Amino acid sequence: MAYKYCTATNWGKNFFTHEERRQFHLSGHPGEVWVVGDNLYGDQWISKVAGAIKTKEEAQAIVTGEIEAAQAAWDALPDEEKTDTNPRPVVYNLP
Amino acid sequence: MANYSDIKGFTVQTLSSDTAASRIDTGSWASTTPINTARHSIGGAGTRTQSIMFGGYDAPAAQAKALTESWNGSSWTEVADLNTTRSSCGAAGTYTSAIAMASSPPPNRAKAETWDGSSWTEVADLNTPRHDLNGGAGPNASSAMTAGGSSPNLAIAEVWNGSSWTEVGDLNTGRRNPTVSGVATSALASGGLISPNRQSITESWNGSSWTEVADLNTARNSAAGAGTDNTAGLLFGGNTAPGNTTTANTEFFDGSSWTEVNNLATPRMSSGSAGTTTSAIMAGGTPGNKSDVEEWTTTPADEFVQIHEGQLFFNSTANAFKETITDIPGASWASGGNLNTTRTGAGTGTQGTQTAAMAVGGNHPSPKGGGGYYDLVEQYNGSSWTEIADLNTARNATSTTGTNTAALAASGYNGTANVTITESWNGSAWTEVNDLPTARGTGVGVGVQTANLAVGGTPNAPYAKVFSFDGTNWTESTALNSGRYGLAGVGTQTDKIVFDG
Repeated sequence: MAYKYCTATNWGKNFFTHEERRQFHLSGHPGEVWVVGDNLYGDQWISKVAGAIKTKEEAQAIVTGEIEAAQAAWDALPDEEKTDTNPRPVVYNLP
Repeated sequence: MANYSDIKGFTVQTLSSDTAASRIDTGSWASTTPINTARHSIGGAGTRTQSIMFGGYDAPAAQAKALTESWNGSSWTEVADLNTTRSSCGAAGTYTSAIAMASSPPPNRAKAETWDGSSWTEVADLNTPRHDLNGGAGPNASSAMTAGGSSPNLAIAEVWNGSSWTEVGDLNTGRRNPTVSGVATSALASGGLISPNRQSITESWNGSSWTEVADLNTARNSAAGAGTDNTAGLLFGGNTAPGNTTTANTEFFDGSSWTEVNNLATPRMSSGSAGTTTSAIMAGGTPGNKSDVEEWTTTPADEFVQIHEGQLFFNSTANAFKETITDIPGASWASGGNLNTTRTGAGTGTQGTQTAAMAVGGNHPSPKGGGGYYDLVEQYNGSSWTEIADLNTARNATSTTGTNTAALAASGYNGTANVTITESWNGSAWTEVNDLPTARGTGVGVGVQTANLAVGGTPNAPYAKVFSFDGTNWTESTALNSGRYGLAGVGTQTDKIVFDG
């Protein structure tokens, strides 16, 4: 499946609708990064939310940066807060 | 004569949502208004349109919260705080009658509070202190249950009757952060953590004991959940193994098994949640401190239309005409290898495949070709034809079934008359077996060598009779609705269609 990448701020109600979720792939990631199915409906959604188009590499860099910041925050927690139900964030690759 | 409908058109059904195999398949997550204070490990109670989210953990501030936010279906309002800060508490009930059960941090691990729609009141302590809880069973502040939690891996379950806690049957598998949903007499405990392993275990509570039922497809802990009893559960998000990552995965339990349904838009764990399998809400969570909220809805029961092939309808929500068809991916015909002997009528039926087939008998296509009727048989290997052992009786229009190593050629026309001859191919030679009861030609064979049907044909006029072969004998079977010859067929002896002719 082909994807497009953008950043957009989730304003809440109708940022993405049930109908849109059925029309194209959409997944949200740290740094307000959105992975959007590359079809007509996905393009319409990016336009609706005024998404700033990113390359996959740019989007990945944003996500990685956010996760690394979260890792640093986690590392600074007292040991009793570092439990396996509060796991250290893990860097992952966007689809 | 023109049809009236061709001139005036016809009415197309208007539906508010697409057709689907089941109501749960119509479900999806959409964004809605964020909570006012981003946090995770939140307790939730109520419905998709009327709920409260209470407590939680503010990760940047590294502190548990006491705040309560109330949702009216369109906006969140901060209302009365809990008496104590708490995160990862058990939670159950409604918008106006809820309970917060145990939690982090100490000393709240046995403490409980009830919500009456305007304020929280501390009530009797649980018998066993615990934390690392997700959800809980209601239905309200007077009747609730919690199960599992820390530390380290509790199996103990307790029921609240409005005034005191009673220990009831233990979970079969003690664990942290199972997702509990339902009511105190009928509940589910799904997933969880036995460090370091995420669990897929689901246990069903019938009011007196827990029974392990179907596993989740994705093992996880700290998922959010919704559901009314032990026959219906929705589980979403959570922390999965391997990789210790959060997931957007959503699964539905129908009382016997879990099925993956449409995912959340944003992966997360430790969210607050409320609702049912057809209408739910999820707020906040982690990684990070999340404030965004997603709501799950399915098509209402009175509007749901099950999918059937060939539907044409107008989706009034999408403002689009839709159809339910199975598109066959683009395909085209290409030339293959030529037969060694030009012929027509070289067998009709389900014999062979695209890369392993046989041309059985036949006749020269033109009397001027000097041909006549053939006993010739050729096999195809996907690129070329090779002549193999001849039939015992030359003829065309046989009904053929089976493979290149185990085939049957039944009946046919020998240039003078239709015949009853049936020949069996074992991969090296043709052997005559029991004849068809009635001579025929230009029928079709459907099935395999030892289990097939000879359908239709031409004794004199188009023929409706069908005969079934069991590997040894032919018996007459249910006739076609209309007699025909030169027909085609696909399938097996017991599940087939014939067409054309």
